[in-house]
Amino acid sequence: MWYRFQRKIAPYVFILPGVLFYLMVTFIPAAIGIGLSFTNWSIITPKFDWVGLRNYERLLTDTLFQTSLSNTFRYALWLIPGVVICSLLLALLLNTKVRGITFFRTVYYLPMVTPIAVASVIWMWIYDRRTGILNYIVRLLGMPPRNWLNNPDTALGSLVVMGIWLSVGSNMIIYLAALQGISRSYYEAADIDGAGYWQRFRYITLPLLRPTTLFVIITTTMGALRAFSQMNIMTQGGPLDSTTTIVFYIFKTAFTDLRMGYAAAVSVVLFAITLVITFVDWKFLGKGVSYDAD
Amino acid sequence: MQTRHILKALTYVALISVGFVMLIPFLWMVLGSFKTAREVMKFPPTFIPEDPTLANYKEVFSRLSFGRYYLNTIITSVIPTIITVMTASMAGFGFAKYRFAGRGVIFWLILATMMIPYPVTIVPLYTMAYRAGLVNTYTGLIIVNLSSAFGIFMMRQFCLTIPNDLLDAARIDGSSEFGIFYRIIMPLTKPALATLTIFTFTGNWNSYMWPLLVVNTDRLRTLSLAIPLFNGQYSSFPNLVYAASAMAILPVVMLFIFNQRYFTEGITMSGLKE
Amino acid sequence: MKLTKHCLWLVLVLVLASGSAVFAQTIVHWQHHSPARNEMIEFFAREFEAQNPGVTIEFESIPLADYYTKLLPALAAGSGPDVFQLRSGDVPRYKEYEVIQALNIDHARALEEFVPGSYGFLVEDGTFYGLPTDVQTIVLFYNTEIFAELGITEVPSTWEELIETALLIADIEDGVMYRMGLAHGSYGPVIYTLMAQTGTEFQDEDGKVLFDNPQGREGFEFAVDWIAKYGVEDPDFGSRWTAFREQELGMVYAHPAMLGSFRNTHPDLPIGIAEVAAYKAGEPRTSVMTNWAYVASAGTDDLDLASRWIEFLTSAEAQRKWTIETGELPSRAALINDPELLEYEPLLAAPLASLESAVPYPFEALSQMDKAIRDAINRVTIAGESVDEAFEWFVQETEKVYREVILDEL
Repeated sequence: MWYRFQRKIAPYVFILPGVLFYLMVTFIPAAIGIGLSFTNWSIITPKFDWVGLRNYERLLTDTLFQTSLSNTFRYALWLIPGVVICSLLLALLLNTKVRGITFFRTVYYLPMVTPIAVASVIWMWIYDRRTGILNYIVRLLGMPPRNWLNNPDTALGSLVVMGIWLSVGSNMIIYLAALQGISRSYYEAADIDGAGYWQRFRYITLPLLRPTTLFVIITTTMGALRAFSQMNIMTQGGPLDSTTTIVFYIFKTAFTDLRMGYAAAVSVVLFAITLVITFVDWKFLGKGVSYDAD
Repeated sequence: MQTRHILKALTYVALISVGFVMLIPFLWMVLGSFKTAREVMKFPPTFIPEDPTLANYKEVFSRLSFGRYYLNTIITSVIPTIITVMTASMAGFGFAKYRFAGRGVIFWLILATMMIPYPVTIVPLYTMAYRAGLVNTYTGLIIVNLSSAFGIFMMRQFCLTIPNDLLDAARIDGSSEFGIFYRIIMPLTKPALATLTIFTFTGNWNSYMWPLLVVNTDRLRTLSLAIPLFNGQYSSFPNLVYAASAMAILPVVMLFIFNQRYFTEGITMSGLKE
Repeated sequence: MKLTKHCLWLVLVLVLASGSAVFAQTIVHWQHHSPARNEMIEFFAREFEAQNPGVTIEFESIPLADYYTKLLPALAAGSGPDVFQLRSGDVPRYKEYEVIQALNIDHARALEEFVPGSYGFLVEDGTFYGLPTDVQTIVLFYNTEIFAELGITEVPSTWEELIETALLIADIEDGVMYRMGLAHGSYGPVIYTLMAQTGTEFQDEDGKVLFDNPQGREGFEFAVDWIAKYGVEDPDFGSRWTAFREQELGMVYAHPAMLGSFRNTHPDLPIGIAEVAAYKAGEPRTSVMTNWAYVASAGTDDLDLASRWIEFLTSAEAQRKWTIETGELPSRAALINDPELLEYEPLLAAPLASLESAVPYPFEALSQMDKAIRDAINRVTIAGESVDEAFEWFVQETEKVYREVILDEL
């Protein structure tokens, strides 16, 4: 009796503090945020009017909104595969009993602790038209140097590369933790069956990494769709709006233009898009080998 | 045998070259912190300081009460990190290993609130904190970081890889549900817990936006708030910013290095019976 | 025994607390940060506290990039400061939203004593809603060593001379720039300075565009021509400030406050400062003035005290110290020929003189319009549009910004 009761009540006890502490500071603001999208609130005054769906109607004809949406998608489409593949490859390399794993892991983690404002200064120098390293290499290869950050064709791509640099280390560490967690007995069994490296990776490692990959893809997607800091510091959304991402646009609309209601409507659209993408990821990648509660 | 050596060498080449790319910006900052204001703005830039000086570090300490900021940052990082690691790992376990009414709804609610961009949620959150009298207090700084959707989600995914048979075996041995969490899940997810700890700690240590809004006095200022104070609208001192940043992130790097042991202490060491 | 002792302490604390509550008044003051300004305000605060016993100034200095991010949520929650800074163009909107209130000062005197360019946005029907501070105009910085080396003796005073001199300085070989002649960095206040010099007006009170005429277009085209036609400025050359520091740029239109910044890192840089060149000989050397305002929150307990603090901060004595320490210009007409300032820094002569003929930044929405003009120039220099197309776009963008930001139309 006690046993069954304990088992029924246990999950709630386990999730209660985490869920409560989290929703306590996010749920009400998020609900208010969604509510604001039906108002014309200007942030600085307590007064506002309900405007129904007018903010959403406006979105349909807002060209900068559409530009920022397409910029965000292009950024995410390049960034996500880049981060997932690079971090998995690095984790696999580091997991092959090489010496200095401690050193490499620390080094790969450094981009995450370097303040973004400082990292941005350095990346701006890397991309500098005259003395940047990138143009130095480009010249060696016999190609014409470019003004990477001040050209609408290359600015977003330059930020994608920096974005991969920023988040590859942390995702590699997550993969590494997952790799360390795979029981050696699986590989031993595979060795007995005479499986090669590729087969072991394909039939043991990859399936067992599935929950981790789902996690990495979903969090990287959320991060990519919310990209803001580099655009704010390095390009201010320019040149010619080519790096204006959706959150950059939301931020400017709310805090510079004082159009919080409209910014909230843009946010709700982004929220809906993120939710759909996450749900699709979940459906396609969430199945397979994992030990869910039965 | 020959190919194995070549493979190993290639592995090192790859690891080192990527490591170098990762390291450059960090090195740039550390080396920059030893340059004079003039050299740091030099164009084309120098990498190694021509005339290394410790003056920037002295200046940072003389201009700002850096010791106090360290203390504030430690308080507002350590407490939330300990609590978050506990709450997130418990919740992650709960979501992964039990079926219960509302599981899907609650979990998706957490994921969903994570997706609303902060520019629209931060103003209501700040208003709530102000009404509750938490502006300009340690509680106000800490309370928003006691749990994390990222952490819950991550721990859920790691718990999913643990076979259910293990838990059932423990139950047959008479273990309580909490005993399972404490004696099986915790040891088996040590690498994940170490990862979560360092991520959460880094996040709290570098957190900027919330402290910016909540802190109104020098007494409560954290390190990340202090770093931009070396710049103004027309004047900037990258050398001082680098020195302050280097000092600010040192504890995180140290913690990361000391934490290394736990990253590798995985399933292989915990005496799994299977 | 112990208990009574504790009780006594408690009573003492309570008495002290209630006593001070009666007399003590606190002004919470927020403004954007630079190390020099920080020290200056701390200094003024202590001085004001000494003159007004019982008053405490609680001062918070906030990095400029995050200033509005911190200010706006605080205003929304009602936890905002009593006295704070706003860009002067923001004042009309904040007044309309009833976030700030009219100051309790001698308005007629203020109208006489402050430089007219500095209060265009701050006054309504003769009433001040804020007092001007952090004034900047546009002046011409030039490198005296480069001038001497090339035998340039006259600092250019008309557009024609400006381009002639710039062409002389610019050093281009095989299409590669080694030294730029002149730079504006597509920076809003500089481009609007050029447009204002042609004599055009910008926008009327209902948001109607007034610069869509040959004069306005000529000012815009001149700015584009620095890059596209004369090639004296090259956007690919990197930061114009770095270039000027490294003596790879002969002349730059900039805010006078850059002087302090140059001096900080390169004390021996050979700098000259002149007023901006006029459109044609005999025309005024007009430049665009940008400034901030100290305003009193609508929620402040003691408007009288807040107003006195603001007047104190913008007094002639305070501004003199402020200019010396921070390099930002004063807003008081009395300081334009101030011997003390000129003795401290002879190079301030041109910046101070520029105050007289300066006109306010022509739009309320400063950051949006800075971006609009930058985009308009990029449309020509990067995207390859014609000047006419880009100018037409800019006219429409100006109307759009007014509709969206000022009128907040849906």
